[in-house]
Amino acid sequence: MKSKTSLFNKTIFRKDITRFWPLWALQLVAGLLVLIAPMMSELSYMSSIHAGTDEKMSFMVTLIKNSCLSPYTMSAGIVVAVCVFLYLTRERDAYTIHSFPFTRTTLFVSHYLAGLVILLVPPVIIELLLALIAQFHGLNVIFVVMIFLLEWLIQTFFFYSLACAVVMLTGNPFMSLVIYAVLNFLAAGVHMLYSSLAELFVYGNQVGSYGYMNGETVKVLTPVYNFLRNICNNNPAVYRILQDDTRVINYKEMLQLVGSTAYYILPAILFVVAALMLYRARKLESAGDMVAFNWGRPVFRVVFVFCTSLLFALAVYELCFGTTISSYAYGRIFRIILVLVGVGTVLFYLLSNMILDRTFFIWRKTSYWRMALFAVLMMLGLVGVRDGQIGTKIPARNNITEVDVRIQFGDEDYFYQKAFLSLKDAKGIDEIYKQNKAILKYGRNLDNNSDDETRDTIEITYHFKGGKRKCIYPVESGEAVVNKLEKYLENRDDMCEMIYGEKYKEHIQRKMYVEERYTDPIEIDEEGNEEEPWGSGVLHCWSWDKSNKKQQEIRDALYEAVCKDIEAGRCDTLHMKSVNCFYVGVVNQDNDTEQVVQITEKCSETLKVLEKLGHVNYYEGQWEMSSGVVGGEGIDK
Amino acid sequence: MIQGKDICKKFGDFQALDRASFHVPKGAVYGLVGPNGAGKSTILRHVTGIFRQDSGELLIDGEPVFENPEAKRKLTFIPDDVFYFRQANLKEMKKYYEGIYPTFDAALFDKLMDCFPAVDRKRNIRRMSKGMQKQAAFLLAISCKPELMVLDEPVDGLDPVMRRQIWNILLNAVSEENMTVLVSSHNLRELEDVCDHVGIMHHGKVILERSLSDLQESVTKLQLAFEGDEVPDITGRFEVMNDTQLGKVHTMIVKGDQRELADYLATFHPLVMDMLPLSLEEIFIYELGGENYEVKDIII
Repeated sequence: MKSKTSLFNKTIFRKDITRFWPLWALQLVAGLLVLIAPMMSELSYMSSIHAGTDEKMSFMVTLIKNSCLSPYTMSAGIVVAVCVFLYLTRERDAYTIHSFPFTRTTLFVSHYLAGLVILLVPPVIIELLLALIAQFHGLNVIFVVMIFLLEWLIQTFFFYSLACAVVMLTGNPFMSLVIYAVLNFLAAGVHMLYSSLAELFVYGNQVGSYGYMNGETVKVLTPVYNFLRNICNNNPAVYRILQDDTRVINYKEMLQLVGSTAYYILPAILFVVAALMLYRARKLESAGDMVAFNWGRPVFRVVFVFCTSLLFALAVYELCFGTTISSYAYGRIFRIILVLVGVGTVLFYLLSNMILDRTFFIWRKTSYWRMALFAVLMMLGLVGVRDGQIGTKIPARNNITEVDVRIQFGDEDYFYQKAFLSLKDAKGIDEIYKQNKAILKYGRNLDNNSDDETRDTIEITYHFKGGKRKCIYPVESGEAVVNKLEKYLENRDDMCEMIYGEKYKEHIQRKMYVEERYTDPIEIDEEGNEEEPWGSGVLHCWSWDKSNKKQQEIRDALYEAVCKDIEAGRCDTLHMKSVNCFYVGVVNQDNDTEQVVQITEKCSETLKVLEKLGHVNYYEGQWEMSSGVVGGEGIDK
Repeated sequence: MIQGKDICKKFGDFQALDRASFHVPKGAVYGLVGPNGAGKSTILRHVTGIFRQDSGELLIDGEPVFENPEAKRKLTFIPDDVFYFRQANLKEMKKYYEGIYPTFDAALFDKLMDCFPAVDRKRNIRRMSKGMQKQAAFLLAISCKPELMVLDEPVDGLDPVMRRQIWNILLNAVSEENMTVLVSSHNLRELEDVCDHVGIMHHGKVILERSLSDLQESVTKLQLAFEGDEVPDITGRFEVMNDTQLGKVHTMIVKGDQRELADYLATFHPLVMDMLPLSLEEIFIYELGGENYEVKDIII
């Protein structure tokens, strides 16, 4: 007699394992084709060219590491979850299975474990086979296999548990796939949608150069991307080089890598528990329904309408208005987006009802006042985004500890020189904050049809406790507020300190460098218009580190000369030109290059130092460098 | 065996069961009848622990059935639309049932296979005809030797010989093993032959529940003719469910004690007075006629 409290039934488990044999077979065949066959081929080839063991091991470790592919584990998770719980989506199947003498917990646990076994055993077989064949070639990769099987287990456990929870939410297999896909990319998708849309009508949208997947929350909430990034992008050193130059496989680093994804175990457990709770609470009459719970309907509707209406607005805008309206017409763009979002909300609200009720005839059932309320809220949200109350708000002044200002010039084809200043004094921060507000006000009212496609931008980054916020403002040439800001910055006495940072002297102590840069001449076309130069780049680069006293002297002399030029106003730190010039920069402790100052023909003090170093000659009133005349254009051939 | 009390169940806005109460005695063959959408299948799904009632109580041998494997182990269910695993044959299904029901009797299964010669053990059940699938379902269910069998339209799609075969096996199990059968069907003539208890459902309620003999005794079909055109008014003493007249002959369906009715009518010295037995189908039609579910005379 079976125990009354038995949580597992081997008949159900066995039946799932046997009836879903195609899932096993597919995984095994895929593993053989994608991993085993190429491995055998490559190892045979390596043996034929007498490749060393290190080379073979490197190949094997890379192969094993790459075999744990997140998009695969993500897809396999939902496929298996839908299969093992498919009976919940058909009335006939659900009713018969639930008339059998089991509790729902027993049913869930038995099916869940069967699915997990289906997902895990094929990779284990493939990986062990891989290790076995490698052993045959004299390579011991069993520990590597174990490590990445652990990673596979974590990923599978997470994705499969999430998939099971999703399956429990719906009564329809297709809907399971949709919700699962949406959940996996929801954070990134919403972030992308919001950013893309806000970029169109918010002056100074701060997301632009960050990219859609750069936020840590977005990364974590997009598990497939996070796993993929962790395993593939952060390529761990396969070998560790010992003092005596011998190389050993770096198991520790591999384990750390796997361990860094282990925090997904906790949500996975929570998803299993949630799935079980949902199963127990589920009404079987919901078999076939798009959403299995009444409370799920409004949740589905809100997420669906929110995402699709934004997507709709973005798509329609880009298709119908994107090419005709200037990107500076913020006011007009906003009004168009506002209408599109309103229309999209209404359309997709109705569509959501059609999906939920599985009929086109929803007119009588639809709550029109709710629909209208939703549309109004969406539109108010947009107004909030535009006015800085939502998302793009600049931080409160009291919280700001530091401000970085970057001024960038360019157009579609070129990004020219950058100026980067870092302000830490209260007065400076106040001034930038004030100017920022003025820029925002200017941008909000900006509604012209300018064809100016320059990419001149001012980037203001606020540092505050616990983070930073970046605002990028596209500016039109000669815009008054920007000019004011530039004027303020140029008049500051501590320009050098701002350019090179607080610890500039420390950096100079470490390394200072000079780059010789050239720019191709600007040509005049038949109509007398100036054409953009073909190219620009670095011809030579010299650096002086802390290796000896002489180099220290050169660094100090260079620094003093640059400071004199800046103080005398001979260095246009904010408006670097596209000409033959020198860049003088510093390298910080992490060996990253930091800010540079452009040295043109006006910067006589610095040029004198460079002349002493033999990098430039003063001849007939011109400073000559190897690429031509300083301040001129093109390489002197 | 089964005790249902004030069971309510709502599907969205639709009240599928509305305080439905019924009682199935142990060893009875209980027929649940009612018009389409009355709630018969819903009640069976509650009895088998598939649905959880919104309110009310449903007990099998004194125990609630929902999420109770012990109670569910006593019963087997054959739904109207039978489920089998894709690609499964009868042999595999038998193995599955053996794993689920500890009481599964493989010898009985093999013995009963002879009664269903058309069912091939090795053929994919899903590719069989509906009738053969029903036979297979019955074979599996009866082989579990349940104390209670719940059947939803069990012989729908079966040929007459197989219908008789299944009822024979069922009634044999009832008499030999004291098995209880709860069956829902629209085939009232057939139910009349096998059921000893009947429950009539309408609008989610069990409006009438009685043993079949009591039911048939409580409703009488009368054919009466009197010398004059006047017919004595009996509505004060008995409930007349239907009254039709053809010439001098009145045909009445009357609720009440047959003997008392006969004695009462005899005092009016009718020219003709015949008391005819009423079929379950007629009782069903006349009972539901009182619930505004009568057959309408429509001339097209």
